[in-house]
Order: sequence, then structure tokens, then C-alpha cells
Amino acid sequence: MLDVGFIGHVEAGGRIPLALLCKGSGMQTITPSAAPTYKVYGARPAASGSGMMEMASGTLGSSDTGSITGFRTGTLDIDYKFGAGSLYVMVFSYSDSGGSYGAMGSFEVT
Amino acid sequence: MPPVGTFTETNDGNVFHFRGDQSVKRWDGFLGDYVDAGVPVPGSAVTSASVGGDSYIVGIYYAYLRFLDSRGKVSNLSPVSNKLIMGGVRYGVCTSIEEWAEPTAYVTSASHGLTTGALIRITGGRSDHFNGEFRVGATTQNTFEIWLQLTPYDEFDIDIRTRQRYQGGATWLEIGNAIQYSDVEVPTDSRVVTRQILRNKDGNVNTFYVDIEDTDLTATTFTSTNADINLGEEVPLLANDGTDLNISRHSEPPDFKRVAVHHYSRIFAAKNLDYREGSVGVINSAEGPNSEVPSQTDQSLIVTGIGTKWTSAMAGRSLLINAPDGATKYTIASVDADEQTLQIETPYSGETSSAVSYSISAPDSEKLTLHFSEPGLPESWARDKVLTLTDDPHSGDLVGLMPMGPRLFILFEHRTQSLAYASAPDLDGQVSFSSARGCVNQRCWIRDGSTAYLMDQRGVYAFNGNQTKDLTSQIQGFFTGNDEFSISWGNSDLFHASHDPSTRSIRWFVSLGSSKVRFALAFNYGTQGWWLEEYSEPITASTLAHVDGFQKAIWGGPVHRVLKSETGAVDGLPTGKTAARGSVSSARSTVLSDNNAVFIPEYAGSPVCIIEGRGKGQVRTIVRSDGHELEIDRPFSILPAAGSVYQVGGFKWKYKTPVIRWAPVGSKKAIRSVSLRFSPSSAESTLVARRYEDFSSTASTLSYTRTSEEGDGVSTEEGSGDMVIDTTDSLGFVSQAIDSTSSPRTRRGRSVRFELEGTTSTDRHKIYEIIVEGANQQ
Amino acid sequence: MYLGRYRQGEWVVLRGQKITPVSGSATYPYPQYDAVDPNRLLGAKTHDTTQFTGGTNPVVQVYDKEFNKVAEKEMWPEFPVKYPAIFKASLFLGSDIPEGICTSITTYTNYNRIGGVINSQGMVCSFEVLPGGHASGSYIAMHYLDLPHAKFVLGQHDSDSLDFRKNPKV
Repeated sequence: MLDVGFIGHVEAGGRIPLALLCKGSGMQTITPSAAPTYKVYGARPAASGSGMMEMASGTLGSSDTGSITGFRTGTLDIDYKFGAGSLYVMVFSYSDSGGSYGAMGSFEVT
Repeated sequence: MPPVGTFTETNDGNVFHFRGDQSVKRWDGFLGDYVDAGVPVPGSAVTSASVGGDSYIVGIYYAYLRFLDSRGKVSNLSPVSNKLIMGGVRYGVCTSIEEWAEPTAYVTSASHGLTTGALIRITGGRSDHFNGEFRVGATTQNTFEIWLQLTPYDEFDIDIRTRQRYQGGATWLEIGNAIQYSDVEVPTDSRVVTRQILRNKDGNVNTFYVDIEDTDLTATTFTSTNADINLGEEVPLLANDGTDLNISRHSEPPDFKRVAVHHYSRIFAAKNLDYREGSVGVINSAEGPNSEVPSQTDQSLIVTGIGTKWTSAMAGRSLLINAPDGATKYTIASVDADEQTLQIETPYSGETSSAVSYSISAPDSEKLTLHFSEPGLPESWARDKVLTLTDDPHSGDLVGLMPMGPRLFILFEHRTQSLAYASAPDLDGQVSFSSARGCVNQRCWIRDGSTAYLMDQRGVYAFNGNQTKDLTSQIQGFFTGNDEFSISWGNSDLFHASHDPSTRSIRWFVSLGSSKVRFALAFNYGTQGWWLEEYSEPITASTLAHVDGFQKAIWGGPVHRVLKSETGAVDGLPTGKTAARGSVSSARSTVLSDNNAVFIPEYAGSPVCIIEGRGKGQVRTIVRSDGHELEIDRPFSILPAAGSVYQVGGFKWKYKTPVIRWAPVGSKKAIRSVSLRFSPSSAESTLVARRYEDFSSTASTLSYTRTSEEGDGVSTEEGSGDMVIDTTDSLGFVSQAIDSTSSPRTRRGRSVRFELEGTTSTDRHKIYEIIVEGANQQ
Repeated sequence: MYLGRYRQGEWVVLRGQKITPVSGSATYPYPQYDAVDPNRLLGAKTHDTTQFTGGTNPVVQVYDKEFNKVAEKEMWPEFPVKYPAIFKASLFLGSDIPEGICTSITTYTNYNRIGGVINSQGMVCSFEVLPGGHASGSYIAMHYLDLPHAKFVLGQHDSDSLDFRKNPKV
């Protein structure tokens, strides 16, 4: 799985840019067969148990940004359900004829 | 990052900026922006020729072109024109003048040689007869027609006067020539506002005169009808002793020098720029084509810059390329600053590579040269007057210049030389060895009267022009490279010294470890004491200024901030703004909140320090100050908890006593204490004392918890080594007992050190005494 | 990779590494930087793939938070002898780069011996542009000028600019 890494800090009510360079098993850039998808996970509120819960989901662009093969971008609005001071994990998914791939990143809401 | 340049000020109120990769800049306090210093020289000669005109010029003539700027400063002279020989005039006797009443008259003068259209002057006749200037009309060998009106050859009419019959005695003289100047260069530099064409008088080529003065700057051809007696301002070329007065002493300042100082009416410039930013891509054509390079240009002649910022001023300099197969040197023919490519004079012969390291430096002939301006003319540099210093392998690189008294000291990394002269450096200048110490760079010396303080890689020393005195034996660890706080010399270009005369202190701003220039080795030359300062942000420049009536050091930092040294109790705030201190309500990784505070926007750029509680010791820079929140630049490593205490503008200070020996007490109880006498603060601030027994690196802990009221101004916590002092205690005196009952034979508890650590708030901490009871007589 | 938080007027060092999936792998060292102070070199780590030092230099493009391209630069080797596959480019955060999270993408193409394209590689990084900055950048030289009509502080900045400021007061 690719490590997108920590993306940055975003204010509650703001918007975070999302960027992914799709790579295949040999670490070369690939054109995904469909727009990559993502899911955002955060800590479950203490009252509803432990573990992570899905906070949001979406898709990145269906075409390359900047004419760079496999470079897909998008944005995520940080609305009321994202808690200030919390860290969130993103899991990206994409595939091509060679298989299915994933990437992980994170961000913090300030 | 651009090369760090040097400012130097001259007596005429101009400031010049030298940096070595572009023209020297000038600013005078009035201009809207910095401009290039000096006046550019015309590159090409004018062409002179004799043409028909309304004058009579006889002799051998040469011409120069020069440029002037808006202040009347002149350039060097252009290359000299061709030699022009202006021939003799014709003259003759009028044996008869007939039909004078008509628009024309006929003059008889044997073999006159005149041609139609020539202009003649008839003189010698009776005052009301044909004296005057006339055009020649039709001619025969011995006669010529004159027009009594100057039309149609000229634009104005004269009255046809009634004449009496010619009675002889008149002579005629042809007045038909002029000098035409062509190929007159049109200046492209905006500094040039005037062009002057200079011409000599027949028989003297040492003094020239202004023949044409033009402010339109568009024409390339001019005609002069000035006879020698009508020429303008005198421009002597050489003095009687052969000194160049106007030929080439007005060259622009050398653009490849980084360091400049003003000394006794001249500017001296030294230290060539060695430019190494980025990398270069090079192609050896013999290894194969590159389709991206224009086919008409040999690809081996083009060098591409990556991450570079080359300027057109680098043309003519040397390019050293560190190719994988060895270093090779070339001369730069031209630079395309837009494309960041340069053309070299000879094809690149090394291995083709997309990125190799390189350097651009002045030609070898300029190595170790010292240039200087003409006296009183900071923008006039006779470039052939140069001092070349002797190469000493033990000196290291030439780094700077330091004027002190009548001598100019030339600073190397490991040596100092001095230059002394009486009339001119090139005539009677003497360069001699001064000391075996040097300097880190041009900014790492301070002069206070007749003593200079310099820092080289061995340490800091005082220098009175003859002798050096080492000052850093106490803190040599910073310079040896073995200490955890050793100076990191990789950033030495940004090191600088700042002098504060009012406190008699000098700070050398340096990098320690791998940090930026955030530390200052501070020295008081009155007490000869040293201390170390750490700043929340790099301080990368400084100067001495008069601010609010006082002479103080001012410092330049990041994001365009200018700070005044030793002004308030906290860092970074404008005067009159209170530094907030309070308890954290909540904290996120990049935001600190205090619901009881209203933070002002002026806090942005200042540091904030967590001084008590969880996260204590962290210092961050405020980037946004708004309402109850402070946003910081870097995330907290340890998140402050609710109740942690913060201080805006806060900075920590720390002091540790030398090792103090306890007095032996045998089997009795040792009565020991530490007391502090200080100036009470008006507001709460943080001051902590700690005790380190023997040579322990860990503070000795206390065995009980006590409030400040219970402890008469000192609070303690069981298991902690901190003795927290109430700085608002009105008595300004606190004491903490540290009695001991050790066995007389024990090896422990023989010595102690005390440490004070504080963070100020509204008032500075003033500690007058640390009193240790039970210590041996020291 | 996260490159840190910066204000306008500061420099960001963009880094990329060239690796290739050409058969065979080896460990090679690359420098490691402090996550809190990204300009601080901590030491070297080893990477379990093959470094690639041939071909063209990587190019880095920088996009603002709306994915408008704000910069494009060719990169060069930061340590050409010791770590030849590590490339860098320096980006000055001037007035043309707005506040917010910026994304940088480094791309390069791997070629075989006869110039044929094997594949393309790349790396995405992000950094944050904070408020509270100034497009002039840091002072690197200063001079105080005292004239009859005013006092000035002259400065040279690492943004490659010269300026003068009038009548300083605290």
C-alpha cells in the first residue's frame, strides 16, 4: 500500500486538498481504470464504543491533473462532524488491469 | 538564496550595495528605487567626416563619445574616432563685381576654383558694398555668379540693398565646411540622459572639448559647425604628470566583488563571488545529439542552469564544471538570464550529464585583487589600478575588509594583512602581514574605537592593529567541534556580529548543531563575560541605528521583521503592547486557546513559550493571533494540558553557578541554604532554582510539598527538583534551606552547583545575589 | 510525504528520489530529515529498492489548495556524490502562493539504454502555507542611513530584493 503520508492541518469548516499519484505493483505510475475512491476514518465517540468509524467517502478526479499520468486530485469539505483536534485517516482505492491498489494518508482538524 | 551582499555608505549620502553577481546598486535617500551605480561607457567609436557647411574648420581632429547621467556624472570615453583632416579654404580677389542691382551679380576672380552652391564671405570692400555672405551660382573658370538674396539656397531673405558701382578692394573667402559625426551610439541604459561628442582643437590632442551635447538620445548622426574657438567645456584627458583625468577612470564599480568598505574618501572592494547555486546540465556533442538544442548552435557550447539565478553580469567570468570524469574550466561568452543558459567560448569536453556541480567565478587575473575607486568619486573606478595580494596558502580565503585608523585591514580566514598608503594605493600602497588570526566573513567583526573584535574559526579575539588577545578560552568548546553546542560552519555566510555600545556588548550570531542562525555568543567587553543566547527565530542581519534618540543594535529576521535589541522584557512585541501570560484552556497540535484572554493581532510573529505544566519548555512562533486563539508555526511535540502556563514573547534564560565546595562540618548537622536577592516584579513571572550536588546532571529533589506562602516566596513539590520563586515577593529576598546530615567520611555532598532558570513577563529579571550558606570560603 | 509548515517569505525545500523497478534491488542510503524542522538533516536511512541516476532530472510541480499550478521547477542532485538519487529544488513562498495546503508532485521518466521509455515515476508531497508571513522574506544584510530629511533602514532579503524603510521607531 502506498503511503500518502500526513497531508496537513485543516480548520473545522475548511476544505482539504486531496492528491494521489496512482502507482502499480512496480511503483510505476499507472492510469486507473476508474476514478480513485477514498474513505475517511476517525475515532468512534467514546459513548458509542471504541475503534474507528467511517466519517466520509468520495472520489477523486476522473482525469489526470496537470496531464501527469495517474495524478488524481479532489477536495474534502471538513464539516460539522469532524472534531477539532482530531486526527483522521484516509484510505484510497484504485485499480487497473494489473490489479487493485491502495494508499493511506492522514490529516488533522485544528 | 542570493549572495549575501555588503552595504557601504559614502560621504555624499549615497549607499552602495555590492553582491558580486550583478551591477553594484546605489541609493541616495531620494530615489524611488535602487539604481545601477556608475555610468556605462559607450562601446563603439564615432565616425568623423568633412561635409559642406557654414563654417571653416581647418586642422587634424579626433573625437570621443561619452555618456552622462542625470547628475552630470560622466562615463569613460568611447574608443577614439578616425583621424579627420579638415582641408584649407579657398580665397581670392574680386577684380570686378558687375550687374549688382539684379538679384544676382557677377564676380570676376581668376581661377577661383569655386563650385555652385559654395558659401563665400566677401570682405574688404566699402562698408556699404558687397561685404557679406553669398551663395555661388553659375561659374566659369574666372567668374562666378553670386546671389544677392540667399534664397533659393537658404531659407531667409536679405534685403536687396542699393549698391554703388564696385570700386575694388574686396576679397572673397570660401566658408563651406562642417564636421559630421556618424555611428553615434544610442544608449540603451536608462541611467544615460545626455551624450557628449568631444573634439580636440587643432594641434592639441591632450585636451578635448564638448562639441555636441545631446539629450534626445535618438539620433545617430550629428553635424558640427563649431570652429575651434566656439567649442564648449574643456575636458582634459591627462594631467601634466600623466594621470588619467577622463579617459578610463570613470569605469563602473566592479560587479564581481562582494565586499566593499569606505575608507578615506575611497571605496575599496574585495572578495570575488564564487557562485554555486543549483546544478548545470552539459552536453558533449561528440557523445550524441540532443534534439532540444537549436541545431545551428554547437550543443557543447550551451550550458543549462538548474536552480540557478545567473545574471548577464556573469559574462566574461570563468565556469568550472565538476563533471564525473574530472573538472574542466571555460570562459563564459554570454548569459541568457531569462532561459538560464550560458554560452561558453570553447566546447565542453567532459562527460555529458543532466546535473553536475559547478562554480562561476571572476577570471583568474582577478584572484586576490583589491579594487578601489577614485578619491571622492565613489562611482569612478580606474579598473587598471588594482592591488594584487600575495597568495599565502596558510591564509585561507579572502573574506573581508576592515578600516581602522589610517590602515585598511584585509581579512582572510586565518590571517590578516594591512594596507597603508599616503597618496594612492597603486602608487605608494604597502601591504604587510598583521596577524595570524583571521575572520569568518565580512560581518563578523566589530570595531569600537581603536580595538576591533573579530571571530574566526579558532575563536573570538581583540585586535588593536598590532596585537591580538584571545577572548574565548572559557568557551573554546564552541569552536573545537567536539561539544554538543559546537558551531556549525556550513551556514557561516549568514553569521554576523552585532554591537550594542550602550551595554558594551557584542553578539556573534551563529548556528549551533544543525540549526539556523538562532544562537548568539554574547560578550561584554567591559566585564569580559560570555553568555549564550537562543532566539526563537533566526537573526540573519544586524546594524547599528539611532532609534528614539538612542544608539542601539537593530536586527533583521524572517518575514521582514526588524527587531530592536535589549528593549523590553519579552521578545518580538511592539512597544506599549502587553505580553499575555495565562493558563491554557485547551490546545490542539497547532492552536493554543485561552478563553480568558483576548489576543491582539500584533502577537503574530512573536514567540510563545509554555513555561509551566505539561509541555513546558516548548517555544513556537505565533503565525495568527485572533480572539482566544494563537496559531503556531510548528506543531507542539507535547500537547500542553489545560492549566499549563504560557507566556507570549517569553524566552527562557538559564544561569548555573560554578562548582561550590561545601564546608566540612564533621559529625554535626550541616546548616546549608541558598538565598536569592532580586528586584521584585510587578507581574507574575517564572523563576526556578535547582540544586545539583557533586557533578550530577540531575537536579536534587526535595522531599516535601509546600506553597509559596508557606515557603516565604518559594514553593516546592515532593519529588521535584524545582524551587519555584515568587518574583512578585515584595521583599525581593527568598531562601530555601537545604540542611544535610552526612557522615563525615562520606564522599558525597562535597560540592554543589545552583541553577537559575526563568521566563520573564512584563519586567526583566534582575538577580543581585545568590547567597550560599554553608559553602567553603571561595 | 509531509514537508512541514511555512509562512510566506520562507523557503521550502522540495525533495524527490529517483528509483527504478529495473530488475534487481539493493539497499541504498538516503538522508533523513526532521519532521518538525524539515531542513535539519538527522542522518541516513536505507531504502529497499534501486536508485536510478541516469536519464533526465526530475521535475516538481506545485499546486495550491485549489490545484492551480503555482510553480514548476527542474530538480538537481542535493548530494551528488553521497546520495546521487536524491534531488531537490528550492521554492520561495512569494506573494504568488496563497495560504493553505499545497501539493507538490515530482515526476521523472526512466529510460532504457537506447532511449526507450520504461515507465514514469513520481512522488507526491504536501506542505502548508501559513498566515503571518511577508513576501520580502528574511533580512540577510542591513544598513542604517541617517540623512537630514529622514532615517532609513536598508535591507537585502533572501527573496532577492532590496528595500528601504523610513524612520524606524519602536
